[in-house]
Amino acid sequence: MKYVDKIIALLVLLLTLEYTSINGQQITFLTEVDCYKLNQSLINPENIQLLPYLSIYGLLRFDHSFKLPAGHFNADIKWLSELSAISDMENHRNKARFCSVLDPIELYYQLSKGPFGLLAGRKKVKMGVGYIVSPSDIIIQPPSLTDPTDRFYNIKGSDLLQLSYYTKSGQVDFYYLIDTRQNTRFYFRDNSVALRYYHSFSPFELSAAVRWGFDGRLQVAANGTVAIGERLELHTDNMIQARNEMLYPSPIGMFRSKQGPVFRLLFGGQWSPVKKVNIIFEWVHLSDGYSNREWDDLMQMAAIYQRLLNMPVIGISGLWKYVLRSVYPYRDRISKKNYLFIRLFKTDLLKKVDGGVITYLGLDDMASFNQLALNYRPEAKTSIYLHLELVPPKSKSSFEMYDFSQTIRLGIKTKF
Amino acid sequence: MKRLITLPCWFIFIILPSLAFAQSQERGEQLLQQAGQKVLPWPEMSFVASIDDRASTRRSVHKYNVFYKGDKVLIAYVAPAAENGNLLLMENDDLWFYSNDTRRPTRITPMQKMSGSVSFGDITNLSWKNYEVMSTEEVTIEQENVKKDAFLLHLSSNKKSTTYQKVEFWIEKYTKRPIMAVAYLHSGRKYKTIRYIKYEVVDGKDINTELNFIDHFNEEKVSAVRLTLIKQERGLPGRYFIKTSLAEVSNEVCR
Repeated sequence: MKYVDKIIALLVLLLTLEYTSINGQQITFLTEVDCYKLNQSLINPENIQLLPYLSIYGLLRFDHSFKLPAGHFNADIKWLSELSAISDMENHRNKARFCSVLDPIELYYQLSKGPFGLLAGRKKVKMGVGYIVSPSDIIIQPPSLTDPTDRFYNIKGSDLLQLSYYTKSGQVDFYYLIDTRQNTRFYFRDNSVALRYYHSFSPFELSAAVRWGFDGRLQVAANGTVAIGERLELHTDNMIQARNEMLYPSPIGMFRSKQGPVFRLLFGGQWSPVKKVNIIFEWVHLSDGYSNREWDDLMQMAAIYQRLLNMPVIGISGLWKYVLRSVYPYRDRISKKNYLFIRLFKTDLLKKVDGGVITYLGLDDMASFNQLALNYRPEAKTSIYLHLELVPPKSKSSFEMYDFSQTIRLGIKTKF
Repeated sequence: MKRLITLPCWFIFIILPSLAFAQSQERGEQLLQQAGQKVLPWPEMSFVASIDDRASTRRSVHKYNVFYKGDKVLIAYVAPAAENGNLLLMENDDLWFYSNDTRRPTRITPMQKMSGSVSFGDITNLSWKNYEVMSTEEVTIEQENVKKDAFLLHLSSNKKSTTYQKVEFWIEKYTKRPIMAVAYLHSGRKYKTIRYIKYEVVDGKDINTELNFIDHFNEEKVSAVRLTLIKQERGLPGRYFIKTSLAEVSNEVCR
């Protein structure tokens, strides 16, 4: 069962290539070289997570749509390969790692008749209006905070059945989401149903959504935008969740849970003060995030366990490394409470060159993730990009868990 | 006696010019409407727009499927393949660009460039319906060494979604065909000249099928827009014009 989606993706890919009546198609090729400076974080001492210092990526994406006698079938499939050079500090040697993944991003059938629509399969359902992260996106997986453009197409669709009814200036959608690995990666653990209502009345647009899991998990969300003149747009994007599933450290060295609902709030806007300049600003509040004190407790607790579990006693020696490797995949879910995201973007900074600066600032500890991006477009279908990323060192900050303190990235993306 | 003199003075200097102005404005609005019929003859229609960017070092041709339904416009990107699947939606004053790459729509302004010298607003507002006629004058205009009697309409924007602040619009006197438009920015600078080159009869309607856009800010760059497969539509699906349904609509209309 583990490889079923991959086999389906391969079959669809082969069929798509053979299919003669393609409705629309796009092939994207991306190659990228990343040089990293490792962040010697608590979660990765002596690079026990075997993070690379150099990676070369190759990505091939097929986005095809073809017309069937009734409706359309859409396939968006990616093949990502990574070749990395790793410094294994424990064994004092360098090593190479190659991995490759074939993933269906979207695979769905859609049919529309009058004001009704039916859709079945894997589909990205974007409900939110936030740029960096949208709390009201209760169906699609959340984006990586440090890669808002999702350049490797890591955001995959959800496996669902969607029924839509379109009104004159809005739509109502009903979703049924089955219990697949993709649908239960985050809060929900069982089959679930969702409902979304969207209405536009210029200059406003409003949306409300609810998702209910068969095991009782519940999320309710709402978002809205308003355009003020030609240059300013304001938006808000909020979600309330019935249960808090986060575990919090305590001074006595144990984890504890908290009762009560979780709120995630976002307020932001988009401002174009002059032509070709765009500024995005968003404040995000996560009520289930750690307070500064809880973060300090976590660091203290980790230091104690590190000392205990590294003791050369038979049976537990090296247990700390095992614990760290086990918790590493969940590091993205641990955050503090308040963040500010700012993106300044200018098209035609130089001839055919766009430039942008991203700052993601932790307001509780003033630590930040910063990115400078330059994008050169020699022709319509090709872009060459350069990213410089910096996480200034700051102890006891949530960015301390981030893998790399510095990154230089050079890539080329071509679409056919 | 004084009252007897004042009354005719009021009539001559205030009432008559006001009536003349109102009549001229009414006539101007009528002319603008008649000229608009030569570009968008039906409230619900579709066509294919091909933009040929001639002045660039490498010639590029962009192709779009355009759907009009009342105040709403959907532009579907067909070619080049790198842009296939992208959409532009205009709903009242709001303009949304849907990127097929990220599968999300973002708000944009009508001034942003579509291809070459053509802005998004140029295609979504072909008939100048969001402009008010400030004054009308009768002129003679020379086009390809032929002198034509024409009306010159001075237009001013009455909606924030319009691309330009002021427009000088020449309409042929007898056929009511648009001849030329010169567009000015808020700063008063001359931005673009639009020439209406070719007309064809489609379903019994005399329709403009070719326009040239000259960008005065960009080395007088010329982009030619050809409109083909023009047809009257009946019952275009409402979901084509809803922001949240663009992801589903993209596969259907970008072909």
